[in-house]
Amino acid sequence: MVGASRSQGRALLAGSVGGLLLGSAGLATPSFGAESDVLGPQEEAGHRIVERVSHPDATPRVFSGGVVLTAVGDRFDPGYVVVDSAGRIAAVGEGPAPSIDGAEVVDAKGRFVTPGLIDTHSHMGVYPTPGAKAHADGNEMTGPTTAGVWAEHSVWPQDPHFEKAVEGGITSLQILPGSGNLIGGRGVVMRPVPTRGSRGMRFPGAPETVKMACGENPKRVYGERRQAPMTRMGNLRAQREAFLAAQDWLETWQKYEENQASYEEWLALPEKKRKKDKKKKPDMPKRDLDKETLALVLTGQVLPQIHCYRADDMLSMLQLAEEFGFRVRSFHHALEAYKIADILAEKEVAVSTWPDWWGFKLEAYDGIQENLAMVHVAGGRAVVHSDSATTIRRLNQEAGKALATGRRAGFDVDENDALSWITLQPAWALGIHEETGSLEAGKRADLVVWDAEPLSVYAKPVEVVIDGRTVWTPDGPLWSDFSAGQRLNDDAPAVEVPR
Amino acid sequence: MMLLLATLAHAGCVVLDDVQASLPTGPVEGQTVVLVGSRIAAVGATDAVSGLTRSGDGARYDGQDCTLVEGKGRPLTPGLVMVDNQLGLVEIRAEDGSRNDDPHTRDAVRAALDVGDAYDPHSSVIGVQRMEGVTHSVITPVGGGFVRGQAAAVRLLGHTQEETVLERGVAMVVDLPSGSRAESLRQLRELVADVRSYARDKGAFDANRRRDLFPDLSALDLEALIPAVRGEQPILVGANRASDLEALVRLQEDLGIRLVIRGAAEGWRVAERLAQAEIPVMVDPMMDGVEGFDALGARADNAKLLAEAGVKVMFHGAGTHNLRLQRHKAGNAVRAGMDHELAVKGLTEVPAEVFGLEGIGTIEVGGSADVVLWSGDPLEVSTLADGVWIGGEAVPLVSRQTVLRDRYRDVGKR
Repeated sequence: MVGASRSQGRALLAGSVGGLLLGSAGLATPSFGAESDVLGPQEEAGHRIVERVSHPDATPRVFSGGVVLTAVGDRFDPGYVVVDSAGRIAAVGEGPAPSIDGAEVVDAKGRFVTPGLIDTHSHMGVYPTPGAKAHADGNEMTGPTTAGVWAEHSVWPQDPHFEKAVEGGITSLQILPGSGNLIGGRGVVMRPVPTRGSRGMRFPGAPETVKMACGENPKRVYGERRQAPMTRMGNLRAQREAFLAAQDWLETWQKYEENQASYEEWLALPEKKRKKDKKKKPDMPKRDLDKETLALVLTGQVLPQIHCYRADDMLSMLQLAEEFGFRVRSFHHALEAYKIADILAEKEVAVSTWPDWWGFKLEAYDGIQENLAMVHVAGGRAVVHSDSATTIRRLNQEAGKALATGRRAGFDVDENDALSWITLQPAWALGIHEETGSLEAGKRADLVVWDAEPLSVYAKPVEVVIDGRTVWTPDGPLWSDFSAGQRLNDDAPAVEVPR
Repeated sequence: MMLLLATLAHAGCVVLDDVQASLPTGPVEGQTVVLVGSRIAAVGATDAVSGLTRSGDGARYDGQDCTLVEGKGRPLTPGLVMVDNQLGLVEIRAEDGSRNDDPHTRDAVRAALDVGDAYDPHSSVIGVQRMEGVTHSVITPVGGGFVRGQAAAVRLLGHTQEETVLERGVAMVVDLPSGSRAESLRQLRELVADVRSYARDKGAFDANRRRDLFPDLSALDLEALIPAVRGEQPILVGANRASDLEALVRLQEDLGIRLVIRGAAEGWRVAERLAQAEIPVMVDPMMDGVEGFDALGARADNAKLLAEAGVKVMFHGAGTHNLRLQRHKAGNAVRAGMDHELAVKGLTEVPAEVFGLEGIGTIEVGGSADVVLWSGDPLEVSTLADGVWIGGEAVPLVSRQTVLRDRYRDVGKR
């Protein structure tokens, strides 16, 4: 930590976000808000990173003189952000920046500083560019419930769209399997940074997520094959059956973990006592990757992210959640969220949606541009997502549009609210809100410096910072191996590969 | 709804005072534009329009009462003219029952197909675009095949095809599928040769004294293709790769046809050639990364570089349901350096000119009274249309979407 006075800045810690999560980012094993922590060592082994991902110290820096938008309600003009050598925010505040020994001062005069943008819905890496059969790795449509597949096993870290997303100010994003399946598999929260394996991109300590889908897609994919599900009622049957099986499996596993724990206690006893009361090592139940993911949904360790358009379909999913005792973390697309904004607010389910896509299928027929604003004013968590490798580069414009149409219709929303739809609210939907999503002391220094009001169509990032380190400026670096050498014929800048 | 329809202002006289008008010479502040009937009757400095008097909140022009709209310096542009979409042809893309754009035939050539015959002026998709400033569209046929049929120009206000389909056959739509572009170009050459030979001796065709023609060519198709092979009707094709664009320029020069190109993602690499050949392009400024093997060279400032080379640039890529967002595509072109005035023209004057829509797309005396009053910079995402007039009629700023919104407006308060 650099020696900035926290009282000068906003030292709100992330508890103010008001989420239910207890928060423990940085742990190797995800256990966000979990009622219990099962499968700890097994999960850890499944996520181990083979390559060594280096995190050099950040240079302590002070961004000073620009307009600072914190995404928790402040507009400091001018303001400052102090970043320490651990890559965290040491202080944020209004007025002249404090002088900090050894810190580099970045003159942000005429610029705008916001938190790094966060997208809850991307298929980059699993459906990379250029579109190719060989890279169609996002939908394991060999069966309607494939909870055991993990998106991180499909992500191609050389997808050139990752670096384009950073160019648009993205600092964290969730990669999801597609929506062909009712339970499509695990999503993964990532950093768009250069690594050789996808696992090195994982957001440190972020909770696990699972992609589910309701409505038209799964029933179309399987119905066309004359296979279940062919209907919405078929959708629900398959999802309920999957959770019933997971419930059984979880009980068996939890019993095993209890027995194992008491066996280990017994092992630690003096020999005399052990001889008096003999214990056998319990047999480990057969592991089952599909059931494990859903079991962790039931314990709260895996956050459900559900593709669902229609209001009545979302209510069916909320019923499913109540039946099995889990919480839906975010609906995705959710074009009819405005019809049930009261319920979604009450149950604290985030709504990840576009500002204006509609009409591409029947369940997307009732989309309206005020959806985000209406969710917001009902007290819910509104999130602008992209689901597109091109709009992810302009999430700020997406928020700007939703703000304009919401205001026009008379809903009480402002720039700070709209900024939170692409920063703090998506952070909450992914369970990383105590670590990123706003400019507050203690959080990771993920930020974007813009050349104009950030919600304008003309705004462009001039610097993107992740964990206090500059990952992008207009001069690069570019890191995709695919892009390397593609433009040697043109006068493009040389491709730099920083690894 | 009845009330709304009843208040739909009928074309009379409208005075738009103190606007920043996008004129053919560029944007000019402090202008007044007078709409009388379906035409623009006067354009001039707010204090210098002769025959115009104001009293209270009304005005009189040339002896008639007019509605007075205080522009307060807001931008007024021509109505936006969209190109290459299926407006009024498709309600819900994934539902065949709602579509009227895909003939589901294996005919390779459907040149006589006139997409105007399928335009539904009551589609709910139209109102969504119209209330955000879209006044006209060049609609195009889709579906498989090589020659997909003829585009039509429609206006977005009216109850019948007679009122709304302005011009038929404004372009011939041809598809050049990937696989072998060389083969597609060969087919196009063969087709043009067949049509020319037919036009020279129609009697031979009727008497069945002909060599084999291009597969699926009917008498109607041959007849319909004559204007296109004579260069009287533009041929609309899609291509992104610079080498394909180059080959198309050559094809146009060889055959004496007139092309309009959709895509042109790598157009900047051959901008001079496209300009020289006077081939207009419709580009998507958001295709600015590695966008497929045909567009590895895509870049953000493509529209800027094309425009600077003198190519006429229009915009596409907003689909059919979100034509309202096309102006943001233009905004993104400006973000990457394109001249703002040219970007606005790419949404108005240029498409009208390219597809031969006379009196549309400009604010000029005698032109069609299609104008949009904006809350701010028309290319900015925070801007919305404050007023839209088509043929002098004020368009109600409602759509199926605003009706749905208002139905659930208070749900969060329950």
